[in-house]
Amino acid sequence: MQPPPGFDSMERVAAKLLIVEDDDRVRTALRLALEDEGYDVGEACDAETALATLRRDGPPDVMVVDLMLGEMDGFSCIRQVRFDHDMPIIVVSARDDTHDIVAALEAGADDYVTKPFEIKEITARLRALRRRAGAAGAQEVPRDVLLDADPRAPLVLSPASGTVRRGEHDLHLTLTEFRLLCELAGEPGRVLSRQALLERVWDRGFFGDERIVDVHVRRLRTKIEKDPSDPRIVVTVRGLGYRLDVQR
Amino acid sequence: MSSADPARRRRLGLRGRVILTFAVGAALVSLALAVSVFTISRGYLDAQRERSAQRQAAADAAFVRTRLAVPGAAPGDVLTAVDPPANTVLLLHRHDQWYSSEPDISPDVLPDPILAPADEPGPAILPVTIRGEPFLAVAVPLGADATFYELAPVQELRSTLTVLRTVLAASALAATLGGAALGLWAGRRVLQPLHRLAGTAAHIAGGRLDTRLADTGDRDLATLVESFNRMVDSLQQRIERERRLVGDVSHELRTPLTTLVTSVGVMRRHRDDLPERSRHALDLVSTELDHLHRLLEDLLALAKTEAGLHQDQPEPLSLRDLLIHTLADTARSADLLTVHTDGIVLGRKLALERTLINLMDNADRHGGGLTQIGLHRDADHAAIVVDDNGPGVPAGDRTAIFQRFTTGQATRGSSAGTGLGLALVAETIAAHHGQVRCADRPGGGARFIVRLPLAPGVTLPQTGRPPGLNIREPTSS
Repeated sequence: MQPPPGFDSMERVAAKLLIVEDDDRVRTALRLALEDEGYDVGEACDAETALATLRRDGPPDVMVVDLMLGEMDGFSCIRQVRFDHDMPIIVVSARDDTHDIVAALEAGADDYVTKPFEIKEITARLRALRRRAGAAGAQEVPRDVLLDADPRAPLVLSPASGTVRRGEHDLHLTLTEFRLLCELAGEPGRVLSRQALLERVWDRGFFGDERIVDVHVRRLRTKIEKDPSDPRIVVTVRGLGYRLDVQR
Repeated sequence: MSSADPARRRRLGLRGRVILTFAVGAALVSLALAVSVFTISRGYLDAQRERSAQRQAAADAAFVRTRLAVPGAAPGDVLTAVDPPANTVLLLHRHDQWYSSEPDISPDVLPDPILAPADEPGPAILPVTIRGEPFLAVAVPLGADATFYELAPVQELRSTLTVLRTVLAASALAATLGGAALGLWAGRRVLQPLHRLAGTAAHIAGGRLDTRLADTGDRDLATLVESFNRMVDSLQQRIERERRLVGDVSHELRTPLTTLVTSVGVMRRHRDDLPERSRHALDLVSTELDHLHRLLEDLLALAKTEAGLHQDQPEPLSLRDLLIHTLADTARSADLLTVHTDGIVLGRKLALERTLINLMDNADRHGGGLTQIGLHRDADHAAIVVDDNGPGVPAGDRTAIFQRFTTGQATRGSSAGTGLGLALVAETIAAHHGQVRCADRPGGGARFIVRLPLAPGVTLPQTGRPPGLNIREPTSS
């Protein structure tokens, strides 16, 4: 039998999850449901509390953040968390307003679910985001991949250690950005459609929101490209998708 | 609508009317001017020619009279002695005898009225045509038994007038064309702000609501620009208000619903721990909650579709893929689908998915079960045909079922239709410039036919389907 999604199959410990939600009843209900799914659930009723919890208890394995919070809204909360942490963040929002969703993704969220949702929707999203990079093609031995051969600052992707280095510096990619880069680097020179990337990285089906891919590619570019406004490594192929070009 | 088309075609456009007005105006003015110039000139020249002919004739007659007074003068010689202007013919009638300066011109050419003895003194004058050329005949009585006739040529005057007429006609034509050209230019000038207006309106209709007309500084246009911009302002405010309302309502309703759905989910997970009666109550709550959830989603989707607020952009979609995935997502068998020809349409994925789900749910709830979904296409439309196994829809109700809160009478109460599903289908399909209608399925049952315009000249990118995602292909392939 499959273990509940809250448990890491390898370590057999409950994954730590932090809910940031201002509505007490929603938060309590979510805690009950997610605890049933095997997560070790922490709660925060606003962004400030959430950030304090992070400082005090260390980062959880995953965060679920509501966009409408008190003083500090969900967007700022996510942005603050992203300064130091790379764990998956799922936004839950009662608004399916286009601007809100794109803004949340740009702030650093990995995926979103609109209220009201069945609990299995959110656990499916969490499971997809917590998969290890390269899990799909685990047969091959992960080797370091040289993405940009610039002699002064070569860009190297190391799937084994889960790092991307530009010269001497470690680039801080979120887990999702890292997996997205791995998927693209797995087939250099080949166009991957947004739909395909959405399926591989986010485990979303045909009706998934392709804007998630676009925003993540944008975020990825700001970290790995020398000039994000003129991307050379992850290029857009109009009407088709994205392609990774190794810079020799 | 079609009856109004010929009328519209007959009527000229605004620019055409401006050009026509200018051309007709120029034509009328120049024609009137040309006609009056010609008439006045001709009258003046004719009168002048007559006077000079009369003066010449009077002078010549005086000469002839003087010569004839000399005894023994031969009238023929007298005529020859006169030195009239070129081409002038002189005739003399004396003692019933005719004399002519040109032997081959006889007095027969003279018109009758001039031959009759004039009652009043003074020379009589009349136009005549001799050998096809125009002349003025002037008669001057020389006493009781003699009359002197002088035929003065007016050919020169006629050619002058012909030239004048030609010049005037040409000028009138040139003025008309000039007027039309001026009209064209003026029309363009006048229509320029209208073109800008139309362009701006098209932008706004395309969804860019922050577009405004620039102030032209033209006093005549200021009112138009101002009221247009005010109209767009209020439109934008209204849409904004509507958007906020939908957003607020959705937030206010979805938040408690989230608590309910999640909590009921927890209870369902622990259903076995509950006593029998509570389990029964939980099932009721659970069913009603599903219904409420669907109702809210349909209601919000309907409000959004009506307000033109969309979650995603239209994109080229394969209806075949859409149907396959919709069937898979709703745990229905792929065998229900028969693809005759795939069609690519420009559509919003999520809205069309909801539409298809609503049609399938409708078939399952009210139509005794979905029996088949067919996908066809003709020259410019794709058609999705959804068949069910129910009693069919009476012909009189086939329009009404697409209105809100119309659920099948026979099944009301027992079934869980929201009464919004088909209304949402109709709204969504209309927003995609398509049509939906209800018909009889051959062999019993209802048939819903959705027609969507095909996206012209669009090819879909090849989606690199990842391994592991198994899509059931239709058996027809």
